Amino acid sequence: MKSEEELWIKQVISGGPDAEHAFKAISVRYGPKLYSQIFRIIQNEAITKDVLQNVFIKVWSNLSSFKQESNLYTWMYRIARNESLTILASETRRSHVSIETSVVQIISGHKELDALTADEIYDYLKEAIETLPEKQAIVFELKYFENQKYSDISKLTGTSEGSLKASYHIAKQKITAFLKTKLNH
Amino acid sequence: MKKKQDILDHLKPELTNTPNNDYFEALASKIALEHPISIKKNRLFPKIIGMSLAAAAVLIIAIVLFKDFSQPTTKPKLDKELFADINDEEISAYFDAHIDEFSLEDISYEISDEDLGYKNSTIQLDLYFSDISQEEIIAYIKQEHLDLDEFEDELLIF
Repeated sequence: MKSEEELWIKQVISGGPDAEHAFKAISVRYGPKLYSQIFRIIQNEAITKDVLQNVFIKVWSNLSSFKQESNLYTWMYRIARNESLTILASETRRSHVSIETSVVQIISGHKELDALTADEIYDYLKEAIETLPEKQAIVFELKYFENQKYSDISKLTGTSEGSLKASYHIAKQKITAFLKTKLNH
Repeated sequence: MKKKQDILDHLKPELTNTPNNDYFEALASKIALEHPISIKKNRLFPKIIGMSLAAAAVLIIAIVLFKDFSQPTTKPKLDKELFADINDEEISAYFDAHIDEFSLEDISYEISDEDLGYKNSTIQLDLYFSDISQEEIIAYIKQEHLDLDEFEDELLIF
């Protein structure tokens, strides 16, 4: 995957006839994951598409400055996260965001959770994810929300499965502690 | 005994409905079209052109400066044949009448130390420091922490 990525990056940077083809390949591989990631932050389809377009423009325009110290997906994830939070903040100020779909459902049986709506608890969950370091946030999102296999996440991020499992475990602990604090206040 | 469940276990994430691959391909094509590859190429070319221009500018400046500083400081020797029909008295009279038109450099070039009666520059220095020993001068320079480079112009007078 890494060498394939490197080839695509080279092709895009070189700007030759293969640039568009390579960029399409990048978009198809990572677009769905980025779309889901953005949607979980924005919760609005139209704005999610706008944000994704901005993200792709930034990737297309700045790929030459990508240092390749991290994997391409990790770099794109960072861009998508920053872009989503920026747009969300500006759209929220203008009260333009209408939440179309809940990202989580509550399974009844938890005393504190049952007192909240799904959107309320999801707001806490989003807040908790934003406090995580990037690596933990990535593995949590891919594992918890998308139920991806560790082997696939490993290929995507270039991190060993053992490290990913540890990161996921720590991320869950942090998020649980964060939610408990919120629910008890 | 029933295991106590985590808060996260009481939440069921909903899978996001993502568009199909055609959407992402079309989006990539649209961006590639609206942000043409020439712009991306130009990201490299301005650097190359800029660097070339900068190098050329430096080269031109260097040539100009070099040319200025490399102007031969040695003036061509007076052609004896040219002044063959002018005697020394006439030349001397001309210099006396137009002495202000000659720079110190011109005059010092044409007149050697021997012409002035100095065998070497040490003799000239002795005119000024005849009663001060070299050790005393060095001691003074050290004591005052003088940087001789700062007195380059003054020292050249001697």
